[in-house]
Amino acid sequence: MADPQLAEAVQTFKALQQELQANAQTRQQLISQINETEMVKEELERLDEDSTVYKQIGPAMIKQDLVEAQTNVSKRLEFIQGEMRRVCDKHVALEAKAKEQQALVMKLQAKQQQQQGTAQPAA
Amino acid sequence: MAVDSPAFIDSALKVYHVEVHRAIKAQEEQLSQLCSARDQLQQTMQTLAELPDRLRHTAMIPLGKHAFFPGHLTRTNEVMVHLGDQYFVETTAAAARGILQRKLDVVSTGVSRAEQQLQALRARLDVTQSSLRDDTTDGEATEIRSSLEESDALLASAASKRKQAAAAARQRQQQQHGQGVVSRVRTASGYSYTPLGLSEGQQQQQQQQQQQQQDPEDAALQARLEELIRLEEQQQQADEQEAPCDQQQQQQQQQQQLASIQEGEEEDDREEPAAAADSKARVHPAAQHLQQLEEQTDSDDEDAQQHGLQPPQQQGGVVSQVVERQPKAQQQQQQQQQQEGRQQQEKAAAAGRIAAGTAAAPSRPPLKSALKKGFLTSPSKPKASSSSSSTSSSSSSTTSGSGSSSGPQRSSATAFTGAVVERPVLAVDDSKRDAVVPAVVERVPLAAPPPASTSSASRPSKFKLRRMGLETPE
Repeated sequence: MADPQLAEAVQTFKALQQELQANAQTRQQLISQINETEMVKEELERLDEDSTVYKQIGPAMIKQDLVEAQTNVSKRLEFIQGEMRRVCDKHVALEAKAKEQQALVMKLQAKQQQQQGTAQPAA
Repeated sequence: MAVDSPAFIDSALKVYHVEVHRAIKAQEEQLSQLCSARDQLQQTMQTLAELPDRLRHTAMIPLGKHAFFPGHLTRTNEVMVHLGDQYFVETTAAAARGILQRKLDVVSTGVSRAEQQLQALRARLDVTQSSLRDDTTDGEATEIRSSLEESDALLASAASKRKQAAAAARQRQQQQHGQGVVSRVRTASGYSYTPLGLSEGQQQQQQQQQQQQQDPEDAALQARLEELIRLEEQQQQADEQEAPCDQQQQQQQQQQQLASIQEGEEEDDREEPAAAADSKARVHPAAQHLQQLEEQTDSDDEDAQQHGLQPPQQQGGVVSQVVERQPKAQQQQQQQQQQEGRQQQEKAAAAGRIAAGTAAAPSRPPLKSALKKGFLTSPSKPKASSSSSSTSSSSSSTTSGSGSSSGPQRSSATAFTGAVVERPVLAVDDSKRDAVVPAVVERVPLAAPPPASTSSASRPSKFKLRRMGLETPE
């Protein structure tokens, strides 16, 4: 009766928890990427105009224009920040869902225990 | 395995212990990585400092992994620096040093942050270990465990009591002036209007009738409230003059508190921060009180006030509480009053244990915040919170996987049948979700004085309480 329901609820809860974890990991990665990109942007801005900048594409280093490199880096930074915002929103939504699911699991568990409690004195 | 059995708590603790170990290992790895990066940067900077000193350096140039050949480093001032994210820049050695210095600063802050987090994790491990050890030895210290709900409700009652102390003072003054004010009092059945002008005897009758009509839980609640009110009253009496109309006030206060507690239970999370702030102010007098009353041998714990402490460290909202004891004079009175309440309580405890599981529900968010607070000793909020939330979610997933709610609740059976010994701390009967009743752990019969020899053995170590409940000693 309550058992399959409870098992199902627990399963969904576990799945939600795992999703939350994966989300947290992605978030951490994004954070480190953001930090790095910000550093690069800062360094590029400090450079003189005539410095030569190379970009590593695979095993080769390709010469790039300083201005071009700066714009590329800025765009990349914005992109990562957008990703970060998305991941945060998803995290919040997942948390809310997990909380709901947890409440449901608790309720079912309590019901089950109640039934067990009433069954025992009867038996 | 019952949810509130000590065996379950033990296993949950072990799981948590393992989790903390894992987190510590991950943190140590990260720290070592950062340290090695820092060392490399420093070495490179050293080399760069010496490089432009000579036009030409002779060196053994590595050729693959296993071979070298002698060569010269000629253009000693031109270096290509990796900026990060696949960008390189050709610059002078001095400028390269500048770039590396800035990188080094970032890495150093990362190292210090990682070290702090590691320390926090290690502290957490210590706590877990000590609690595990105490669980197995089960001799020296007594732990008070209550669900967060109950502690929140108690906090709410403590906060509301203070408000009502002021209100009571006001009412008392009014009564002295003889105004006929009707107080609206909420009882279990509904609202009843109790004119303040009723004689004390009539009011007592009313009270008793109401008590009999109410459930055993409510009666126990009221009994508990009476104690709390008496304690509050004592404090008031110490400050203010005694007024003749105390009893009426008390009874009204009781019922109001009953109402407020029932309402307070529904607002657990909201009230916790506010009430915790209130309770902090109270912890000081409570601690002093504890010291004062340590010698007293009377075993009645029901007189004690409870203060829920801030973030529960263990999963599932285990909260140890600092307890305040009443002076001996009051305790005997209350023993008489509360015997009935106790018996009813015991009956209700068995029936109410079922609802224990639901208590863990509000424990989850505070737990997360607890872990966050524990981890966060530095401004690296996103990193720390994500790691802490991942730890909490993984540990919570493992405990939920064990099939029952993560409520850390001692069986009231062990609580009630425990050694008959005076314990200055109150063990909370957490089996009743809706009732805010800290159960008396043991009852010493009125006639028999508690054996003095056991008092010291059963005294809970304040340090243990602090470790369990308080993040920082206050």
